[in-house]
Amino acid sequence: MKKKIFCLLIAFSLISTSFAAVYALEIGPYSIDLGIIDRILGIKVFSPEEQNINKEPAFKGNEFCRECHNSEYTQWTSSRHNLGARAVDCETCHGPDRTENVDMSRDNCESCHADIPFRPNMLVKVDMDGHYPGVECAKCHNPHSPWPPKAVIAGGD
Amino acid sequence: MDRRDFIKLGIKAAIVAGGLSAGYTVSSLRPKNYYGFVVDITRCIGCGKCVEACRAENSVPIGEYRTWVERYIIKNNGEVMVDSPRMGEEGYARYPPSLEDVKTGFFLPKLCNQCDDPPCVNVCPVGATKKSSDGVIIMDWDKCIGCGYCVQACPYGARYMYPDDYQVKELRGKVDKCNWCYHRVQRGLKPACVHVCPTGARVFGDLTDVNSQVSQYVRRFKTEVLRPELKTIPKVYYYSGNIL
Repeated sequence: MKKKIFCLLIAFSLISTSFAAVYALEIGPYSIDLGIIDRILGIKVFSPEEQNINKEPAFKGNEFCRECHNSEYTQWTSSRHNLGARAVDCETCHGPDRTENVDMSRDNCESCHADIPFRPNMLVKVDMDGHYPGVECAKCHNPHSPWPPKAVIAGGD
Repeated sequence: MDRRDFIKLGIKAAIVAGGLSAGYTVSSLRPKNYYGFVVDITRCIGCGKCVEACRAENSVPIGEYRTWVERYIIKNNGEVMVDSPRMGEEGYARYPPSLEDVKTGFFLPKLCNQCDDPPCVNVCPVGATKKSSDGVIIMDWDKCIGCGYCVQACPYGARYMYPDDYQVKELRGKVDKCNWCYHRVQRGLKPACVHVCPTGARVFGDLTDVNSQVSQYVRRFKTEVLRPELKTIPKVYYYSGNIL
């Protein structure tokens, strides 16, 4: 009889300490989610890490674009838009998976090259109102190799 | 087996188990990667490509921002003016500032600072946001109840709530924040804003790696953090060079 009570007591203390441990881990700022109850009940639980990882990257990188657009890639490699690690990547202008819809307007070039106040002098700054206003930049400058510009088109001054 | 042997075996097992658990604790205290972020404001040209890319990569709803670019204008009398038309998403070319009496100015990209002591994690009543072993503060949307305490608690304004008409039904009314593109970083890629930055103003890397660009910035140059007086220990370091 005594032995039985002793065993029961030990079992009870074990269970209660384990519950206390779970409770202690679950609260507090850096909670460790054991998800024990969900696992016992068979509910599929995604950890916060899994929830955040579970998404395909939209921006694939230059090498991905190169697989199909090799000629543009080669042009860009030796251009002024490619200055090593600090380069204007394909997807900086084209956006993710949007090669067809690239914005060829002056506004798109302007966002980097307009001569606006407080812009660092590390890139070519163009006075957008004085430099061939109204003409699409890509008429003279190939965006994949912007410098030197193509021969000036007759009449397009 | 008599009682003596049994006790001996028990002690041995306890020693082994204790050693294992101690070893596990020590190894878990030293994370393999511990990420940091450097914003070199001497290189930021205010084009807003990062804001655009972040929206595309993370499906950020219109009107909300995980990252944004501010324009600081410092006048000769020391007055500081801050503006951020459309949070810098369209760039600053169409929004000319007034240049009366201006001493200097610069563009300042902002994002979640992934604080080492994050107030947002401390206030969450349901433990729906946590610090991962990489040092990134991530959301647990399964747990989030959308009370918005963390949005209030963040001193940097880095959190927002998904609107009620958001495309993913399960996320409506829940909180979102910059997670340094956790899904990209875990796949060995750079965060989207770093990836598209044409001038290298945004630098991402491992702080535990001495040779990473981030470590080099932090070790060699004088970098600052935003609102250090709050002691949140941000991990986004700002390098201002000789602008100020």
